[in-house]
Parts: sequence; C-alpha cells; structure tokens
Amino acid sequence: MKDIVLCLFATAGFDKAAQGLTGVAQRLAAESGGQVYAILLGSGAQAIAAEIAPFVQTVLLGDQAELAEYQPELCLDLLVQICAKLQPRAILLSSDTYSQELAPRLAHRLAGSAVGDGIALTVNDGALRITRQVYGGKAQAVIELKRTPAVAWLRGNSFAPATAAAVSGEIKPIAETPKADLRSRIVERKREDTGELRLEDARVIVAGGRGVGGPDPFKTELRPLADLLGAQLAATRAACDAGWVSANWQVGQTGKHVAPDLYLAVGLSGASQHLAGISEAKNVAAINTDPEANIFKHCQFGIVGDFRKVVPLLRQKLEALSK
Amino acid sequence: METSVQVVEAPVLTALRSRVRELCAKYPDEYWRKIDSQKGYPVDFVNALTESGYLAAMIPEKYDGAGLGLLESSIILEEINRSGGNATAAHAQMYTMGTLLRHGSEEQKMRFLPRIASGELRLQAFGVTEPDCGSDTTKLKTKAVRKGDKYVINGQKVFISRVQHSDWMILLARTTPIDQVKKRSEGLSVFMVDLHHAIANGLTVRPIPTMMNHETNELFLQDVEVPVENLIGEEGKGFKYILDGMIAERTMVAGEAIGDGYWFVNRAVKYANERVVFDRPIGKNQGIAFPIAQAYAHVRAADLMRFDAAQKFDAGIPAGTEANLAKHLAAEASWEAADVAMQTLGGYGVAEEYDVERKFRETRLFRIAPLSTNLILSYIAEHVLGLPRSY
Amino acid sequence: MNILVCMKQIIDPEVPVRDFRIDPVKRQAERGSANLVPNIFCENALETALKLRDLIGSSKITVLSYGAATAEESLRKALAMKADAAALVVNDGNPNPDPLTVARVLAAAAQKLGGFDLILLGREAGDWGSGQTGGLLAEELGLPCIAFADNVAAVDGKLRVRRQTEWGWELSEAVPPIVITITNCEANVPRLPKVRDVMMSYRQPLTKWTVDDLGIDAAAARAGDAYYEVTELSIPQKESVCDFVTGETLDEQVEMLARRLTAITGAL
Repeated sequence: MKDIVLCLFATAGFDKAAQGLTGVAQRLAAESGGQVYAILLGSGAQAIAAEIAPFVQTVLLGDQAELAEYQPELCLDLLVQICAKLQPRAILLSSDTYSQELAPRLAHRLAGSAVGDGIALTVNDGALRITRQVYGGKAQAVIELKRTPAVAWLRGNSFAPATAAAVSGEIKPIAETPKADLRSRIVERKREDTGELRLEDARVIVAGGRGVGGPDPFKTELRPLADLLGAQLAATRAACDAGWVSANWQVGQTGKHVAPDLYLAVGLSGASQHLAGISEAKNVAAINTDPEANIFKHCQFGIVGDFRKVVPLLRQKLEALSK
Repeated sequence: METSVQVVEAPVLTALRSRVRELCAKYPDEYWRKIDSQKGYPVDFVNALTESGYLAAMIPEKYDGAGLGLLESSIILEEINRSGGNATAAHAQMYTMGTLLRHGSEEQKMRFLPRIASGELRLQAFGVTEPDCGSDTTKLKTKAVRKGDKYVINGQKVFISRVQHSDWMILLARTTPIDQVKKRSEGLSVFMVDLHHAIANGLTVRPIPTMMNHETNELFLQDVEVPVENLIGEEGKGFKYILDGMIAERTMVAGEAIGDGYWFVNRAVKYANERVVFDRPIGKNQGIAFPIAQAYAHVRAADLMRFDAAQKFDAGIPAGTEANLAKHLAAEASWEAADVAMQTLGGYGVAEEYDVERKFRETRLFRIAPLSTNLILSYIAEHVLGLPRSY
Repeated sequence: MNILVCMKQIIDPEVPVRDFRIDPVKRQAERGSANLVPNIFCENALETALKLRDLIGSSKITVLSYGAATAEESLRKALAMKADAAALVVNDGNPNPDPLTVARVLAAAAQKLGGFDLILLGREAGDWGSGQTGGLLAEELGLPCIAFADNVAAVDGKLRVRRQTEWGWELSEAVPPIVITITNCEANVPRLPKVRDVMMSYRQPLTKWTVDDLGIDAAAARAGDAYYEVTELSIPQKESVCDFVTGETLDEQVEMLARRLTAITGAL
C-alpha cells in the first residue's frame, strides 16, 4: 500500500489545479516509495494522458465510448474496481463537481476515509493530515484521515506542480468494465460555453455583491468596467440568490474558487464565505461605502465611496489612461 | 439568543421572535431609509407581514386569524421595531378590528373579519380624535343622525392615520346630543365606514405632513352616509366599546417602543465599540457607556411592565393600569435611548445613513400617542393613587 | 412520496469575523452570543421538498437531525414551514462527529422511521462544511446519489434532477429511492412560515432518540472519530491593511484607483 492514485476528469483538463494535484501525488509517492497512477476519464482523456505522462508512472486511460460522458454511478463503480485492485495508500482528486461528489463515496466503498477542499497536506506517522478552511473561511482545521486508503480532494492551485521524470509514464487503457446503475443517470446536459474563460482561470475579475442593489447596475455599470479592465464578472451568493445574475457567477466557499491577479470587489461586504473563494487572489481591491466593511481587511487597496459615483468616473479615467 | 425576556420565556415565543426577525431581515436599513426619504408606505413589507399572517395575529381562528394573545402580538411589533423597521404603518390592522370583534354582531364579524385576516380588507384607520377634542373624547362633536336605513355623519377628525392605505375606518360619533344624556360618556356610537365610498360621497381627506414618515390626516365629513348595518353594537354605547380596545393598543405600542429602545441601545453599543478616538474605542469611556447602560436598564424595566400588562390581559384579568404604565415607561425609555444613541454617534447621529435620526423622529411620537404622558400620569394619580382629580 | 430531509443546526455563520472565536483545545468554535440556526443548505433542501409536495401533492415530509438538544428549535421551525413530522437523535457524545458517524446515525434513524422514496440533504454545512454526509448516507443505505442539485421534479414516478457544474448544467433521471444533496438557488430560498404554523409547531409531537435507540455501535458513535479526526483548529492571521486611495476630491481619488488598477492589468 504505497502507491498513490490520481483521478482526473477530462472535462477539467490538465489545468493548473490538476498540475498541483500531480505535484502532491508525486511527492507523496516519493515519501512512501510507491508509484503514481493517474486515472483519466472521459472523452478527450487521450490528450490529457500525453500531458500528464511525464509526471507519473502509469496513466490509466478511460476514454471508451461508455465513459465518454460522465455518469456518477458508473464512474464511481469503475474507480472502485480499479482502486480495489491497486490498493493505494492515497487517492487524490481535484475540487471540481465530479471529484467532490465521488470522493466520499469512493472512500466508503474502499473502507477508507475522505476529506476535501485541502489547501495543505502533510504526513504524520504514516497518516495523511489535510489542512482546510472551515467555518465559512473564518478558521482553519487540520484533519487526520484514520482509515486507508486516504481519499482527498484538493485545491490544486495551492500546491506546487510536479517535476517531469526522466522517463515518461506508460499509458494503458482501463481494463475494468464499469457497471451501469440504471437507478440514476444523467440524461441531458448542456455545456455553457459563454465564450468567456472559466472564472477559475480568469486573471482579472470584477465582482458585485448585495450593495450593487439589483440586476441593472451589473449590466450598465459593472460590465463596461469589466470590459475596460479585461475582466470577467462574478458575484456573491446574495446577488445570485436574489436572481440578479446567473448562479454561475457565484464566487465563494460553495461557489467558484478563483485565483486572479486582480479581484475588484464592488458593493460587497466581504463575508468570510465569499472570501474563502478568493483566498488565492493575488491582489484584491474594493469599492464600498462602509469603511468598516470586512472586505477592507482583506484587500491591498480600495476606495470608500458609492459605486454609483465611483464606477462611472473610474471608467472615464480608465478610458483616458488607455489612450 | 438575545431576548428581552425576564420571565422564563416559553420556547415558542423565542421561536416567534426568530421568525419575525427573519422576515424583517429581508427589509434591511436601506429599505426603510428609502421609504422614509420618499415619504412612502412600506407596501412590500406590509404585504409580507400580511402573507405570513402576522397582522391577523389577534383575530380568532374561527375567523381565519392566528388566534394569538396580546403578548404574542406585542412581541411581534417589538421585533419589527427592534429590527430597524417601523410597525406603525401596519399595527392598526392588528388591533382596530378589536372593537368589531368584541361588540359587532356575528353577521358583521363574518362579513369583515376573515377578509381582514387575509388582508383583502384593510382596517387601519381609527377615527376618534378631533381638532377640539383629543384627550377629552366624550366632548367630540362629530354627529351621526339616523335617517331611515342610514346614518348621516357630519364633523371633523384630526390625526387619523393610514387612511390612504385603509379600506375601512372605525369611526366614533355622537348619536345622542350631550345635553340629552345622563353621563357624558353615553350617546356615542361606533361605525364601520367604507372609506372608498365615503371619499366619493362627502369625506374629504387632507394629509398632515409630519416630521416622520407617517401618514396622518384631517378628515372633513359632510353628510357622509353609513348604512345602519354598519353600526357596531348598540347605539349610544360606543365610548365603552372604544375604551376596552385601548388596553390592547397601549400594550402593543409599548412593545413597539421597547423594540425601539433595544434598537437604539444596540446601535449605540455597536458604534461605541467600533469608533476609536484617542486610541481607544469610545465605549471605554464611562461618559459614553453609562448613559447607554442606564437607557438599557429603563428599557428592561418597561419590558417587564409590558409583560405584566399583556399576560394579565390574556388571562382575562383587568390590565388598564398596567397597560398605561407599560406605554408610559416604554415611551420614556425609548426616547431616552434615542437621545443617548444620537449623542453617542455624534455627528453620525444626524446622518441619514446611520438610521438613528430616522428612528429618533419616529420614536418621539410614542410620548404623545396613542395618549399623552400627562393623561397617563393623571390616571395614575387619580385612579391608582387616590389623589384628588385635577380636571 | 415519502420524503426525508436531514437538517443540521449550526452556529450562525453570519457572525461577523471580529466576533468569531474558537476554543483551540476543544477544537470547536465558541458560540458566544451567536444564535443557533438551521444550516441554509438544509433549509434549501427542505424548501425543495415543500415545493415538490406543492407540485405533486400527497407526500409526507419528515425532518431529521443528529445534534444537540437545541436542534429541536430548528426542527420546530421546519414543522412551522409545514414539514409533517420531526425526529431528533440527541447527540450526547462528540459534538463534532466525523461525517461517517453522522451518516451511520442518520441511516439508522431513517430506517427506524420507515421507508423513504427521497432523502434530501444540504450540500454541506456552514460550519465544518465537509460536504460528505449526503454521499456517505447514500452508501450506508445502498442508494444512488446526486449532489449539488438545484431543482427536483417528479414526472411519472421518476425524479428529474437538475444541477449546475463548472461547465454547464446536467439533468438526471432517477428512480426512487435516492439521496440528493441540494445547493442554493433563487427557487429554493426557504419560505417564511405563517405565524399560526409557528405557534402550532410547538404543539406537534417530536420523536427523540439517542444513539442507544438505533441499534448501532453506540460507543463508536459517541466517539465519532474512527473515520477522521480534527487534530488542530486555528484562526489564521491573514488580515491586510487596506491602502485607501488618497485625494481631496473624488476625482483625485478615483484617478489614483484607476492608476493602481492599470498598474496590475497592464502587466498581464
């Protein structure tokens, strides 16, 4: 039980998070003297296999027809079958939707323990200890997994990526046949290619909160501002729940976790659950009428003012500066 | 949770407070500020209260109300004010119907109460006060003369609130001239007045702008006709009918003032903890802290008095003195707390965005209405303490 | 349809950061003067059940908690929102049991309460947020699971369940029984209970058990740490000091803001 298994879904690609995850797997494997197996599922896994092979010993490719599109019960069964054979010490996943929903169930079926949303990982007397934010981002906990395999889904962006090995890993098709579960199946899906980058990959974000007051200012004030900054728009849960913007825009503990170079927070107070989604942001700036707002304790610079007055003026200034 | 309870509050009442707070949380300070600056009526808030049945609190279940007591009702109103809102816009819907409930015929009750409970009919206006007769109710001059199957009413009323957001009004008028009755309190009658009909037929409404966002009016009645079936109870017995509703009204208003009191104390504490001057939060200075503590003590005392009044009323025990005391103490306490909050906040005390100035203007009314401080003190002096009548 | 909604009562997550305290020895947050509230995602789950019942009629909704005695308040609120029945397994052991412990207790209680066609939970709790209870409960009961759903409809005895992912949305079709975890959306904001129902909720019966009543390993349940253990809890000191833009007029201040923003975006 020395090996480490990585589970990745093709839809996510070998993104920055997956690269960090691979780094963790590599370091853990080195520590226990084991190998890294990367299981890749979904159509397009072939392309990712080539990208990840330099960093692992074996790539198990699952891009057969029946695995082309994700099905939770099916993928879970397959992962259980593979891991039951490999008997890994640890199984690592990323923090996308599929990983989060499968990890606990995977742990259960393998009589292991799972924990999620890890931002740091250590080994203590052979047991994995994962650090994660709790209490809506207000505190931090270290959790020790008691059973094996240790299953963890991690915020890959928090970890250093892997280093390429001298010899690239072997790419093999998955031998096991997953068992379909007719009780529950995804029957329809819609990829929403908004033409925009994923928020998780955006380098500049303008986010609005309850202080924006309604759906219109997002369109009339924040959108033009974002365009001038080359930014994408995001929002707090309050704004999404109020129906002002699409739920897709929600950044936070249970929304998207973003890591932009610049996050401009407009009319949002900075509740800890929201801040939990931007802990990886390099620069945070804020526009808010309340000088005591929590956001000002978590940003590098900002202005106390009403966005209705600040943003139009700001757009003028930005336009002037771009000339 | 933070409650005002001194007696051991039943868990259901604590739950009731939480539920009202959750509803009020959807109408934050910005909402009330905006309504105040527009001198508008909080339509959405009142609709939400109606939807959840709060305004039907005291209507019995038989008539589709919530069948609650005065204690629960005063807690509901307290929590609205305590959350930063202003219950005055809708509180009459809770108690005005009381006169109808206690003295109307079964036919009238079935005709009106279920529709008041559902909010379909708004009964928010109570026409008693007149320009020449505030505290001395029996001297009112508005006359109602029986003519066949209707009464014809002529006269004037003042400080009649919420007419613009009411469909019906309870009106007190003299049906037997004062020189023809043995006691001054006889000869007055209570009517249900259809406002929409009346306004088109002889009732003129003149709004009176006030210092706070409160709809109140002068009414001029010229040959306003009210069908006989809208007389409540017996002709001539109206004064007694009005009186027994006053205990409920005063206790509920006490609840509102207590809610204001806690609100002011909380805002003063919050500010005093955050505002740092000379390297210390100003709340560290006894000159700031002690007045807040004193105000809190007085609010707590008034709160206890309110509980006494409400619990007695709900148990069917006479509670007139307690209701008067509760209203008096609560109004004095909320005014003190208002002044302390304003002083604590300094310049920000008069700034609109801090809300203190708005509620300062709103709470001042409680020392005047529904009855003034002096009348309560006279009552206590004469009826409770046995001192000689002064007027 | 027989629906079970599992709900957790937690310390109000809206407590401002400056008032939030932890006990590093007990490895828990300190309640202080904060309220205890139902976890919002659990309320979203309850609202989902209520809306489903509004749609299809003839359904019984039971709410279930594993928690301290105070959790009764949250269950009574659920009754006020018109859940039909409520049950509380009083936790007199580890106040922060690991998710597998919770799942085992809930599974045993669910089986004791009777057969359910649909079991709903919030996607995670606002305090510890492990996000595992739903999945582990499904495994304990041998049921499939759909996570992060924001819409549940019933058509011809099957459930149609919608959820958002990073890449768009997915619609699943499921044959009951199944476990579904719920995330927040505009349509599942919990309804405001009617005042009459608030008062009535305190007159309704509420089933109360301990882990001893459930036929499970009670000692293990009370220990609650065989799956994982919290070895450390801290509040990271991460605050920065905001450099407010300066300037005598708004114009000057916004000019400075614009420059600082472009200094960053220009370098990308």
